[in-house]
Amino acid sequence: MTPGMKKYKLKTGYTELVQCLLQKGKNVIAPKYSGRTLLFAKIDNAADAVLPDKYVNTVRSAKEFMFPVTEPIVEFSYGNKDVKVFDPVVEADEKIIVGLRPCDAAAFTVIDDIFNYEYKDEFYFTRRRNAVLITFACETSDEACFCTSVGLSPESPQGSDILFKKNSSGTYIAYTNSEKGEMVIRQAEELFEELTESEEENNSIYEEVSRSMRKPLDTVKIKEWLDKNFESTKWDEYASRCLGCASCAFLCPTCHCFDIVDEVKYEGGLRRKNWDACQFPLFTLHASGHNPRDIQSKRYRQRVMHKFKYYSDRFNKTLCTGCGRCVRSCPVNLDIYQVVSEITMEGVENE
Amino acid sequence: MSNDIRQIAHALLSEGKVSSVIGYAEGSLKGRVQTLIAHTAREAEKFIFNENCVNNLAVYLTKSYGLINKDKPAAVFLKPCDIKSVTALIQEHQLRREDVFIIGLSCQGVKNGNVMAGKCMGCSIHNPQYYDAIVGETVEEKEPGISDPFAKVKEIENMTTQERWDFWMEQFDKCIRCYACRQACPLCYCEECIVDKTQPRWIESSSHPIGNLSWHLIRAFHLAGRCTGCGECDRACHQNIPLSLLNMKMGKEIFELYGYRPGMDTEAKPPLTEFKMEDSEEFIR
Repeated sequence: MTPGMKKYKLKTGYTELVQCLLQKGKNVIAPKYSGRTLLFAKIDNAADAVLPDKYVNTVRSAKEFMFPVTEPIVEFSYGNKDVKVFDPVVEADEKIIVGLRPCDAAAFTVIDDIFNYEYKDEFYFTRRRNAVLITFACETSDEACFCTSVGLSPESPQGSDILFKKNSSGTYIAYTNSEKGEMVIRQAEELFEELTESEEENNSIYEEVSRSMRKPLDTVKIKEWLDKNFESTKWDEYASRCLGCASCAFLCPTCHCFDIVDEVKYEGGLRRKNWDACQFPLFTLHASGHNPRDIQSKRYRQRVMHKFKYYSDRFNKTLCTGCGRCVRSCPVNLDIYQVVSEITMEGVENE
Repeated sequence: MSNDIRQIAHALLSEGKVSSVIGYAEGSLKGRVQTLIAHTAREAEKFIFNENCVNNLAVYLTKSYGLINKDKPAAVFLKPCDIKSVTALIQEHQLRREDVFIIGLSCQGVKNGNVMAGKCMGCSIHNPQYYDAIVGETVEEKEPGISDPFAKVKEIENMTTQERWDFWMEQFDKCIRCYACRQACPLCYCEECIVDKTQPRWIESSSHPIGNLSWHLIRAFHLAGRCTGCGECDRACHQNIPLSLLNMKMGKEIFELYGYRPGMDTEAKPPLTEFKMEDSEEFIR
């Protein structure tokens, strides 16, 4: 584990932890069913929070709690000659997001860089500062998961304020990773106690989950191929079946592109920041009518390039945490893992 | 059956009768299949057909994919329900019959995940209505598995106005405007969708209650008397919004007013594109 991490034993189960945080008046966000869709949502009743060993992951990632699907960024009103512009207030209440997976917690550490690049996005960072991320290591995975391909694992602490892992007797051990995490432990101190040495023993389940996942990708080789193949018939081949929807981008914990739209009524209006996606034809349509990404193959190439090349060129990070949501949700099973592993096998020299 | 499929695809491509063959290939996840668009006979060996082939491949016959309007037709594997989409595309002059080489598949029903797809429950056509080639044995036509295809619609109709509003607002609240419903729909072929128009902006693109409600209702109206019930919108929606209920409701209205079912006859005129003296005027009061 990361040096400086402290460890505590949770004396109770997950529901009691959620219950305790609610009793202390905390704003708790956790995976909860809306019909048959598992989503992060505000928890009012601890029993609604689905136990971490009962799901692989939520349908949507937790990015919307820092970067909402839609949010006003400027508000304005006009009277006769009198135009007023207001800055909307970003909700600054503390949020405790519980039940995250390591891939989703790590995603924030990846997109922090872009939201702080050239311009610091205070909408994002205000929420980020006020959010506590409490992650539960994965006891299961599914066929779509591939976090081990992008430098993570079912028990990575990256991005989490607290990471919970079970020891071999099934007790949750909390590994704190930040002052925010320590604070939560102090606030719920009655639930935690010191660890004895024997209780610390690691559970091999997480390694087993790692081993059961898709074979790790070679991101270096992928990037080498991408560096040389901006023009390739492969793009036409992959994109030919793409429907051009944004399921992949919208469910992705690291996709961060947005559109700016004005919603104007008679006396004023507001300017909104809405999720956008590179798979939409409108994404790069210029006012002149020219569109540099006028066909789907150019749009699909952009998605792969951004994740495995451009982001790495700029921030030395892969814009993917292997959560597998894009793989699970694609209506035509266009599988990015399959695509990038195929190009790796192709070999740089063959192109 | 997969053998016959490969043979026919191979023959069509090697004899140069078609420009491409659109079909199914093994998926990367259990229970899922991928689209395969083959341009050479060599690729034909990858085609399959099994109970997981729920996808409606008719969507690839819309103009934006660039597979039609070539010097040769595009061949496509279609289940009887998928052929209804082709019928609708022909009716709406989006596709010429001679531009598509239909390889009809007899179908006993397909699965969506682990269960039989919703559309199969009310299905009454198990053999292709028309085709250029056919694969598989003719299967016995059987009565739909459910007696009333509109049962779920009626359940919602029987709610009070407030209950109905609450039901749909809760559903639409999940929508994040990824437009997978639109993109998966073979009849959402508009070159510029109304939701993408900005001068004026008819529908707010933001994922808030007004934007989401406007989007889904207007889409349902645009599909009235056109939706053939392939269920791809439902399947594509990862948020599990029961979108096909809206389309079914419109289908029911159209049937009650005009006795018309979409996707059944390439020669028929969709009721909202023509006027007859004897048309019902019940709705004008």
